Amino acid sequence: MAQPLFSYGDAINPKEFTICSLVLKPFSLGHYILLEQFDNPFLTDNANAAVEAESGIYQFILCLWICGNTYEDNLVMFDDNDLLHRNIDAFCQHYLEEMKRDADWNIYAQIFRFREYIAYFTDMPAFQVEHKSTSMPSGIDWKQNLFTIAKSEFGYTDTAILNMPLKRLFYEWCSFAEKNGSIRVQNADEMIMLNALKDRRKQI
Amino acid sequence: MNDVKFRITGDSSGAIRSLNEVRRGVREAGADIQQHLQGKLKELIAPAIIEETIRRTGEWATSITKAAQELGVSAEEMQGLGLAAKRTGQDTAKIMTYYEKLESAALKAVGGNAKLAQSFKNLGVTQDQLKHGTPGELFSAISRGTADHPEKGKDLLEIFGSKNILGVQALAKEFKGQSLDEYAKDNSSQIVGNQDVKDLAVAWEHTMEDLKSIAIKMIPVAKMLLAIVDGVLSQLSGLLSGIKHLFKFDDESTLFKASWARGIANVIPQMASGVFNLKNLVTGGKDKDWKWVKSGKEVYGGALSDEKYREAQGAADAVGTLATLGIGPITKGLGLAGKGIGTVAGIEKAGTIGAKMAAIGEGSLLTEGLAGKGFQAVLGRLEQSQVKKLYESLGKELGVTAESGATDIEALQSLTNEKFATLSTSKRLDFLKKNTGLFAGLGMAGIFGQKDVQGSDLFSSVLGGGKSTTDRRGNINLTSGFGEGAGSNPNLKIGGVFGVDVSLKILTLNQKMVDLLQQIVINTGAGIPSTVDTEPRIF
Repeated sequence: MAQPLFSYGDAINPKEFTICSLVLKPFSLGHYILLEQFDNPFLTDNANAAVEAESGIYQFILCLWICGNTYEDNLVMFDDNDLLHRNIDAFCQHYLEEMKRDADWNIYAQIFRFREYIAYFTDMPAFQVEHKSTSMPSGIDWKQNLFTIAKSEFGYTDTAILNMPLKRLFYEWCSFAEKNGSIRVQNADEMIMLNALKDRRKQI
Repeated sequence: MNDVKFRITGDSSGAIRSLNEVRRGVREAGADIQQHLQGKLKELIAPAIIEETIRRTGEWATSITKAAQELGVSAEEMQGLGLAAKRTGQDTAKIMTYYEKLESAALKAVGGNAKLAQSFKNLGVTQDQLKHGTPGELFSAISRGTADHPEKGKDLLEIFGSKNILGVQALAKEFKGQSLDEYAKDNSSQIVGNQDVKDLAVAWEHTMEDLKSIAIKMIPVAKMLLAIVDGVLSQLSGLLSGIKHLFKFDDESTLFKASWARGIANVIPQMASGVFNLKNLVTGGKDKDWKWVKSGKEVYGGALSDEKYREAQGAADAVGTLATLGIGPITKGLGLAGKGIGTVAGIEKAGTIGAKMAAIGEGSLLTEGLAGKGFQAVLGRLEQSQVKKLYESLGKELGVTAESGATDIEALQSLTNEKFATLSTSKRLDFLKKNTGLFAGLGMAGIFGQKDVQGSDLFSSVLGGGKSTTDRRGNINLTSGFGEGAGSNPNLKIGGVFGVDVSLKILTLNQKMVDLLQQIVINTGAGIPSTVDTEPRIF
């Protein structure tokens, strides 16, 4: 049996990430939606252009803050200034203490770690499209597709969809898409062959 | 993902409805958080967080640059070494030891030590590398030479010594035969580029130069701030002697024949005006009627407007900014003083006279000042023996045996603070009065602030670092020019000049912080994976 390129176990029991003293929740569709809604530069391609200098660190802290809470808790806190204030205060204290603890502390290391976190949870199996469309691309938001399929096909609740690791949602979407013949997920042997082909093409 | 067609089976109307609800929720929250980002978030997140973030990153870039220069490697390679050290569970400082050993062994080998020369040869280091290579190049060569060759352990032992052999082997294993440069490139996602580190280090150096120039000018200012804190504390405690000695007035001084309130009214605010133009900040500039410290019964006769309150708080924040950005100790003193100003502003914010009296007597000043959180801050500045003494005194005050098995100072501080918190407000004050002998004056905050200032790199050359700080009053009197009487206090002139200058400097400094932030964001913003928002990997 061909070896899979990824482990579903990783998606069910993902790695834990602690950044700036905050234990982050697995990055989820809910986090993505919130960060995107707030135009957070750490999720966009044109981050350099979008970031206003003074708000750079605030944006990063907001990223951490959002990813440290569930989707619903975030909404509650954004609606309750006192609660938000108390929690941010506590976080700030921990953040400062964390800086004191680590002699090599610098913001780069934290941002690298956050990138690693995002990359880990947005990892997707390699696949090929079985019936590539020749028509114009659909305008449907990919998140809508994911949400709708997770809800109507898998029967997950809104909370489950918005808070489960995005990695898991991707993996399960792949199963669904492969089952209905839209895509074909690559296995390890195929990847080795493909990489060998690529190398040969480069040499030529 | 748009290219992939989905066939959605079953009834999807419920899913669409749910999604619409999610979108609505996010939209509502989004509008709110946008406001937070524009203003509220900045209020929620303490400026100290941002300042400390910048400071630590600037210092990190500087230390990487210096270490890289010492080892003869690039900043990227230096970070690579640090990364490898962390991954192999070693302290980054150990790298320096390894390099020192390596350099020393190479020198000996070149100087004729045949055994060492043979070891280098066995590890694949050429004569040319040995003679002309930097330690970084030698390390790269050794890393390549030892990859998958555990039998070369004895050669490593010869060069690095028995204490370091395991650490070096672990590093060599981590490098997997790669050179430093190759390893750094292989881990580029966690390494800041050479030019970026250099730019950041230079920017930080410039900021520090500005800070030093501010700090030198701030010497009298720092003393004044400390004096203000002491003044407020003395006002709080009713210990007039504190103020008297502070300004070197003798008992016959006409100024201090009057009540303490008059003393405060005439001296403290004018000093404050010399510091950060507090005169303007608090009274609005032209108005010399110091509402918050007018005289006698009218001392608490007027409340600050919201605007003035914010301005006063702003002054305190400005001090705080310097406090965070400065070189450690100096700024603790300034920061403490800044808190003092903030506390005063807090009291004045109270609406009614009754509320103000309550604030002075039982409320914010006591709970936020020396007798409250301030006490904890003071504990943080004491030596272990002093904390222990305080702890034992507290035990007596509470009528309990205060034997502590705590051996480290933090535990002792925590225990002492806990005990202190159990005292009533009046007992706290009594306790502080009784124990002033420990620190030669009630104005402990001022003392330790002064100690910090004296101990600092910036001020030591001027003040004479290491001078005993058992009585900061004498120190304050040394050069600050206090004691001339309120009407002719030369510090007013200093303040007139420095107040504006310092404010401008701080504005400039803030701009530099913004530039640094921009640098950091630019350096790290790119490369954030966003694969899910674009096309998935399709082969």
